[in-house]
Amino acid sequence: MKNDKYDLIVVGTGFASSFFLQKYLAKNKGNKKVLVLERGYFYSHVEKLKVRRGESLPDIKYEQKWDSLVENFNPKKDWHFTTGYGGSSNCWWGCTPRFMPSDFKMNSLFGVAQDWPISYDDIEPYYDEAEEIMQISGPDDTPFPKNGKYPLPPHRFSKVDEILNKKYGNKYISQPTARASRATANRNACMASSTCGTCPVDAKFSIENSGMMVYQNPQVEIVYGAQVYKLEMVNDVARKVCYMKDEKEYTAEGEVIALGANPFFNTNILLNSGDKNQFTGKGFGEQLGIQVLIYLDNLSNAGGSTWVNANGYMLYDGQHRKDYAACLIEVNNAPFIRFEENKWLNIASFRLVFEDLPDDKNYITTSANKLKPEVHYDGRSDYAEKAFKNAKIELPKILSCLPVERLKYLDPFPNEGHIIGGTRMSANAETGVVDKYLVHHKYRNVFVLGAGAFTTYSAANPSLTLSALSLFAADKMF
Amino acid sequence: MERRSFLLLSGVLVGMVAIPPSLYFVSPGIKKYAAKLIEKELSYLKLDKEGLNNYINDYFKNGSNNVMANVKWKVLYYGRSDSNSSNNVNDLLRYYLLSTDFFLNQMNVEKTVKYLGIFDPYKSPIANPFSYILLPANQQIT
Repeated sequence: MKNDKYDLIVVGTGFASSFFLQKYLAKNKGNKKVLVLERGYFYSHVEKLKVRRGESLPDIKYEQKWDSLVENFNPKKDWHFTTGYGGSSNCWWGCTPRFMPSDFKMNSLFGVAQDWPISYDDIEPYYDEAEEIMQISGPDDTPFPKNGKYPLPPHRFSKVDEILNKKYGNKYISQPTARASRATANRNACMASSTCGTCPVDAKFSIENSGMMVYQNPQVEIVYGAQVYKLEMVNDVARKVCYMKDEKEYTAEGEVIALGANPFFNTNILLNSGDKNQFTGKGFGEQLGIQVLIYLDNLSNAGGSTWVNANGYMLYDGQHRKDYAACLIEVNNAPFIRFEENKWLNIASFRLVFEDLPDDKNYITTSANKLKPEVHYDGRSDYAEKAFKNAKIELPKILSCLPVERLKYLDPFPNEGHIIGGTRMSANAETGVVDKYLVHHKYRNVFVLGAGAFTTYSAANPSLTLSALSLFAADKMF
Repeated sequence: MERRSFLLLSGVLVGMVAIPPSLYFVSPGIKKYAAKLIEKELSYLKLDKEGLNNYINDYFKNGSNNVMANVKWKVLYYGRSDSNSSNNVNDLLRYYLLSTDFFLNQMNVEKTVKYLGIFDPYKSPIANPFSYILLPANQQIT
């Protein structure tokens, strides 16, 4: 390390940290010392592509399997994430719908779970800002309020999309996405290869191709291979960050600490630091995703231009959320094909994504290994399961404008690639872990960023919202 | 790292193009029944026989010697399984068509279907037949 003490120490380099730093640096030009501790390494997109094309390269050692980094106590449940520069921007699939305003008011509107201490209107400007940074492709008419236009035009509809959009209007839209609909300064246009984790043509936003340059800023020093496991607290103020690197112990001193690791590691750090908040680590989870194949008579689904071509909101909002979950439909362009003559592309694929509710039976805790959190996931709630039963009843009616031959439901996916909750946001320490600016209720110089802070899950994908929250927090607090 | 581990690591598998692992055995028996399953279900197409055999070889490459897998493919064929009733058969057929020039040729059934190499989004120039790049939305097949 170059300095004895830093103004800000950031843990992790994924969405949460990068967007926080983006705003922080914009408001503190040239006068702050920032240390970034990243547990992984820089593993470039170019190198990943070579490996995926069959080359054996030394950097492949940076692709650590998620289940080697945590103790997962439920073998039927996966929790995919990547570590290293850019965090989960290296494995996400680029879906960026906003949350709906109702997602922030689950208790007052529907009598379930808790309200967030912020409203949709509070972060609307930061949604705009995050969408500009990510160069999101999206339509003009959306089911959620939106002041500005998306930076890039929407992706193209297939014929199936056109029919459903005509019937449902802004409840069936081209998906807002970080998979570029046309080439940008740093990315190519999407080729709909349906393989987005490592995009074959680098069309998807990642921290590496973002052009944000926060880690190249001369105020910022980055240390790779730094596995943070604890904060040293003095009178409820975090003074030092403790980490392991190359099997040696280090500490770094900072005025303000921002934890931007994923909810597993943020929780592990807090609990190892002595955090006694009753909700720390509690109620984490993610959505339930189920694929349904829609066999069509005399209608091709060709012509889309990206992996998830559209989002359907027909089962999302409404008073049913008192009883069962919102469902966001992802209209999928993956190459499911048919083999009957002349029907090869007469098939559509919907992924039904159901929100879930935080449940304390699902929790993260520490283990005997200070670097490795335990992950205990008992299962999804009846709230989500009941919504799936309802969707099976409603879907044929929703699709009545299409020449449907039959529907085929696939088994639920073992994961949606999201890790949400564990350090939930709340109005006070009696109901959650962090305040509306993502500051820990007890440790007032510690930010706990990311989807762990979500009070409730929403059915929408989390990355855009957690990025907007990071911008919001840094803007309000510095 | 093995290819499937890779794909699993890289994100959520959603109809994604990962060759199913560990089912297969490179015995002539398995290959014979796998090829028969493809020929039976795509009997309306002109398939390049040599290309089909090359595909089968590539598809089953790196498999282990597994007696149960041999039995399985034989049962699939004689049990009248097809792409609707068996995920294994569906995968076999799906990767075959995606690995050929069938979609590049706009699904022209008059042209002989030729194998181009095992389907791989990182190597195939156009990986998805649902993309507008291959077929516009207003063009109907039937």
